[in-house]
Amino acid sequence: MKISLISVTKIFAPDIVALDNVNLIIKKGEFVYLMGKSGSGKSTLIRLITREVLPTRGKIVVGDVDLGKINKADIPFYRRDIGTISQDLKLIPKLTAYENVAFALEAMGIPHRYVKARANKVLDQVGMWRRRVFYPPQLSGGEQQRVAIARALAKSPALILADEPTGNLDAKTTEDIMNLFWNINASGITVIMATHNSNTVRDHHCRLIELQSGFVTRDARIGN
Amino acid sequence: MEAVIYVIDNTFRLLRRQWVLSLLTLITAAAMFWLLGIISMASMNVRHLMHKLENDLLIQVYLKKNADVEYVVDEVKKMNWVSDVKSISPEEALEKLEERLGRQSHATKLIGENPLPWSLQVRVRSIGDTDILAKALNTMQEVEDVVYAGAYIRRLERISYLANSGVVTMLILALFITSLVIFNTIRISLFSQKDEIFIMSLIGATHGYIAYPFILQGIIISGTGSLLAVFGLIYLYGSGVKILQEALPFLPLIVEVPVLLRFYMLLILFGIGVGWICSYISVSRYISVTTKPI
Ligand SMILES: Nc1ncnc2c1ncn2[C@@H]1O[C@H](COP(=O)(O)OP(=O)(O)OP(=O)(O)O)[C@@H](O)[C@H]1O
Ligand SMILES: [Mg+2]
Repeated sequence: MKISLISVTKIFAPDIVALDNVNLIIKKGEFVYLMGKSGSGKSTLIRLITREVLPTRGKIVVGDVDLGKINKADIPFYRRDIGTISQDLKLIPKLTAYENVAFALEAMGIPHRYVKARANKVLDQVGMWRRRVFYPPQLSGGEQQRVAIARALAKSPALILADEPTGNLDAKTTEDIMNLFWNINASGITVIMATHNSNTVRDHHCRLIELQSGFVTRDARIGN
Repeated sequence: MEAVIYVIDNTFRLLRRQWVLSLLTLITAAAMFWLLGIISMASMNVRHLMHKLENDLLIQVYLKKNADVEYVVDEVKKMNWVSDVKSISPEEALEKLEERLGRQSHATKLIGENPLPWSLQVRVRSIGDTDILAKALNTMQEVEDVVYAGAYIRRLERISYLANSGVVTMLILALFITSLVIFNTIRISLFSQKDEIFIMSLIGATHGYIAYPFILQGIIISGTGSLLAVFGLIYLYGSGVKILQEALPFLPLIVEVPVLLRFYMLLILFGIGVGWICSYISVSRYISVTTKPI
């Protein structure tokens, strides 16, 4: 899924400039690191793409959808193509790992019989199948993150948006989670990942975009 | 089908999770619908009674000795409030009198001449116009006297007026309370599912899909409330009618089963409708506010 941001500015009332005239074109299948200090606008950029946030100025086109012109009723269907893993990990504590994944599929109206197979498959993919009946509080941070990734993957998205997915994880777990993302990307899914931990950036074929108080200060392809 | 199962599943999960609140709301709704039912039934009965009386209500107009009966009948017929006029000759009146008095009536013959005047039986179109019609009749030259059950009618009229305005007030009040309680219960349900709703909306669940379980929760609570109210009413009305009929056998009460059934059905439908509308408003407001992009 190709993503274009054209002269995008986001000002939060009254005068917080979260993004300032950002121009970006992200091609299908790219792996993009969104780097920058806390408050530099990484989450805002991601939330602009999910249309949780509307730009103050500028234009955003994702695939063939112009987010400025999308119908309200079409937003749910637009979002079905995007898997999001948010910064403040949003698993439902009252549901098991399996139920958290299945819930996401059911919420999209996918028939029960497919939900089961699909949920099991993605849980296996992230290595959480054996702990599928555990509740989030019974899982470690890394395990919870895997469940969140499984949930994002479950609906076979064309785009994964991950906001700080390795936030409070140790080096080893971070490595494992990163490997998951690399595998996801290798299957053709575009990945945009916000992080302020440069250790996660590996010598891989990827793109690195750095934000500084809302400006893009660096945009480089590395690893090839 | 899957979606239907999901919605029903979720609805009962909501009801289970919020069972104390749901139960309290249900009891409130039941009490309110019961109150509503009682008042409506009372007013229905008063109206029924009035209708009966209206059909029976006649104004007796006694004419002066030498009045031109045909002329008076024509004049009275021209009055707006009149639905029907019948003239009664002294002979007819005497016959009726004799009928009523039975054997002793021979005595009347002893008087020789028939002492009764010509009279009119005037039927009023609407019970509320009785007084004014009586007054109008009284002003006519040819009229000697006007007799009707004025005070009785006036009292009934007041009762019916009070009942009607009471019904409207109570209806609004009960409706307001019920709506508020249901609205808030659904709101609390929504808040308890805050994270789920957020995730669902981010994942791409349609608003309808998010909303249905909550709307159904409102419908179930309110509908069950009205159903309970109807059971209460059936019992109360049945025993009330029995007591009243023993004490005042002449009182015309509504006892026709189809009429009562239709009323009960309406009350249940009303309950469902109220639940539907309140939860719908509650849910759509909540969802549109929380999923509004910033
Ligand atoms: N809903 C909001 N209302 C007002 N200001 C906001 C809102 N969301 C973000 N901001 C502001 O926008 C700026 C950018 O925030 P953003 O969350 O994009 O930063 P970030 O790069 O993701 O930071 P972090 O690394 O800490 O997650 C910050 O100054 C923040 O305070
Ligand atoms: Mg952030």
